[in-house]
Amino acid sequence: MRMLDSADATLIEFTLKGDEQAFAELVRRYQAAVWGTVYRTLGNSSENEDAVQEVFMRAYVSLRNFNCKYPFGPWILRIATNYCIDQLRRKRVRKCKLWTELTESEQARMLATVSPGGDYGHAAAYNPDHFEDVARVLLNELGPKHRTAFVLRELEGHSYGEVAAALGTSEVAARVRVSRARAEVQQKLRKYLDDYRSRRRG
Amino acid sequence: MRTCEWFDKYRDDELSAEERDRFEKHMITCKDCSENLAVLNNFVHALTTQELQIPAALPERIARRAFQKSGSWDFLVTSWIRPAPAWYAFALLLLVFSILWAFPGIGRTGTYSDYETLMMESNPANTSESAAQALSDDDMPNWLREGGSSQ
Repeated sequence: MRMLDSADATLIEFTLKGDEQAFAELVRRYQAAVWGTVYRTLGNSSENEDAVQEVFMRAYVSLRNFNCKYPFGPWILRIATNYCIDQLRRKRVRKCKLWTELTESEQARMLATVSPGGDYGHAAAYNPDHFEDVARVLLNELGPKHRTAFVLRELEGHSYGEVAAALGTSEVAARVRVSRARAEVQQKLRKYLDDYRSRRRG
Repeated sequence: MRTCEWFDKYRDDELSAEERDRFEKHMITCKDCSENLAVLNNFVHALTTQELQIPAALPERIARRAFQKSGSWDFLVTSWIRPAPAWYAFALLLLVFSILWAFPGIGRTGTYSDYETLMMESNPANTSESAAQALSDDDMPNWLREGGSSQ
């Protein structure tokens, strides 16, 4: 059997018949989507492989109940999203401090690397390497549902239909979550930079 | 609708060409919208610049682990239990109803039957009826004259 040319449904059928290579091929096809979602939502690179393995193991356990009439992609993405929300609720993955848990000098140091002048990170002053720390702290502050919606739409580039399928909600609800997450990120980051600017002036 | 409220549609590229033009002109004068867009662009860019480092043999490792585990007893149990806890709740309900149906004495019906029996026994009309049936038609007037006492 030529695995590379096979449809997902065929790979699933062969997996259920005990073909290990078929399942490996299925994992290969969707590993990037699952890896990206898990890594960007949980933000924990050292444990990312375990998390991705767990997602695919959950899929394997439930594979006999998967209806091959539907595409495999949204299904595995939903398992990954549920896994992330589960982990975020259990707070097992919060290795990174919240903004409010940082000291004033830590906050100032992080913001100074984002934008020395205290502006909103326009191209001239913007350093993406340093900005990642601030962005990760801010992403951590979003609630599990808003965070997963934001990651799927903004960071992974899925359509609202795909976001809704992964979250198990309507498309309208998915849009609302993404919009609120955007507004929270914008409002918080602007506030932090404003505070930093006024402290510098003072 | 205020132009500021088009922000999400602009971000999602869902505005018509004309609306897009209007929103971009609006951003020149609206500090809120332009700063919000700059913040969001930089935020997303910062989180997506890093390349995903996926280990090369990950699919094979996952497949091997899955197939090793598929023979274990806990896998067999979870593979049957995991899909639908609702099925188990439904099966439990079905079991409870079948027990109630198979043994009606367990439920309200049994208590009601006891109540009916007691009422029948305590009704004087029923006692006299049975006594009257025991007598022939000829004996009836005598029996009534004697005050209906049972023999």
